[in-house]
Amino acid sequence: MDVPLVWIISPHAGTRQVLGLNLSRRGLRTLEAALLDELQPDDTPPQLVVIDVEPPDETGWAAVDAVRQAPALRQVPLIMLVARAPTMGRLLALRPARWVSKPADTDALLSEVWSSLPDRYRRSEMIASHMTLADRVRAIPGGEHLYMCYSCGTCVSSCMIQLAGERSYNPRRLIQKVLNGLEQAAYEDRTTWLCSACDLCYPRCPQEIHISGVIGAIRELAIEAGHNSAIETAAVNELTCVACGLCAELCPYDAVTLVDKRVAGQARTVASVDASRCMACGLCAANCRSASIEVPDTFTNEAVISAVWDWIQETTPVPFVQPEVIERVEPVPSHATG
Amino acid sequence: MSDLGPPRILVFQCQYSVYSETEREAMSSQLPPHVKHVQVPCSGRISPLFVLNAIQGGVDGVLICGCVPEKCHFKAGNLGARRQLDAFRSFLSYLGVEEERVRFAWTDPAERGRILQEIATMEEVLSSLDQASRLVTRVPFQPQGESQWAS
Repeated sequence: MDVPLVWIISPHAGTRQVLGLNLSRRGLRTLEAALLDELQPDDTPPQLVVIDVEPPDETGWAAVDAVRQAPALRQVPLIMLVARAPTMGRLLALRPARWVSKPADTDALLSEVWSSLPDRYRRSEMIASHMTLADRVRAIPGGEHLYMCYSCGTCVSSCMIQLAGERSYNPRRLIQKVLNGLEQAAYEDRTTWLCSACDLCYPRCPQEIHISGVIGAIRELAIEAGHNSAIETAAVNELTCVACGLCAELCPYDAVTLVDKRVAGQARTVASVDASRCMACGLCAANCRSASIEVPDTFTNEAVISAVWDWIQETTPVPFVQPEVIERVEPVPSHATG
Repeated sequence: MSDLGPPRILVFQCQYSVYSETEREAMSSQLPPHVKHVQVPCSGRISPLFVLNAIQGGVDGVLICGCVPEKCHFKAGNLGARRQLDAFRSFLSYLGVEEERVRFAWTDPAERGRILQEIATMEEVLSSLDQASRLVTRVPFQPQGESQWAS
């Protein structure tokens, strides 16, 4: 996980210290200095610059101009702490820039900080501020009603996946793991990966929790933490795929997309499966006109058809007559026969 | 038809379309030898290729069992199956295969006894027909060596 670097420039030691503490407590890396020049030797450019403008001697605006003129810093977002609101013209000239009026409220400053930074950095805030696993799940759309669960197990008894032979499947236990903060156990649980969002449990849950949404949120965190799907997902034979897009059109989980890539030295468009989304239902395999996409092992075309043919052969009253194999005759060159 | 024995039926069943334990037991181990049960992950997995292969092998009837719309375990797999297999059935009937030979049973997962009933009904219907002869090639499918799927 990359942590964003923030430069804090203020001539007042106290302001620097307070700002630095507040930001580093929220998972940001900070470098503090009285003047911009002190920070120049550092070779990694920051993701954000916070400048205390308009101290009595007005050195702040000079620092702002210096930031905007430095080639490495021209596009870095800027937050100015100001006593008077800057004019619109000045703000536009300094884009991307925001301002917070002094005395700066911590929450106001933080909200400006997070809206200046790209979204992906928010996750580092959550981890650094010691958000529990449950809180992180609840922060993802779909996972909100996690705390409503009182572990009755109605979801377990209404789920079809257990009946299909997966005895370890248990949404109730998964929710308990999340509530107890067992992060690794929750990510490795097969329940996280097997839920296909059929929503059979949703109308039956007495607490009206959208369980597949909660599991989807846990899955999202698991993918972010680098875990892979625990089920066998569809695979594409890129040599025969013609990129007709039928599978991408049909996939109920939008797991198949068409991508441009090099196959056997040629630039081609082929189907590609997102393993974290694929639920291995096989709709793509049944519809592929060139038999180029299949879920490996159990339900391949080959496996199903040979099983059926074995049965046909067993039950046919008259045994099959194997078609006569015609041996290939090598053509004899005419000069050899004379 | 009596001299040829009971009609052979191939049943494709979505693994989520039968809920009750006893019925699962019956489907997996207690079927007579002239009924072949193939369980697939979703009715959407049933390729027209499977149906065609069975008919080419001389199977009298193919029963396709999936979930009713909006009850699909994979959101919309049954709709995909219905769309393509329905069209394929009318194509087969255009080629001279009787429509009764391909039958659909869209069941609610909570319905009990429906699938066994469907097999019985189908057997009855097929008994009144002649033995399947249309499109029968009797050339067994031969897998072409090692599969070459990129994993």
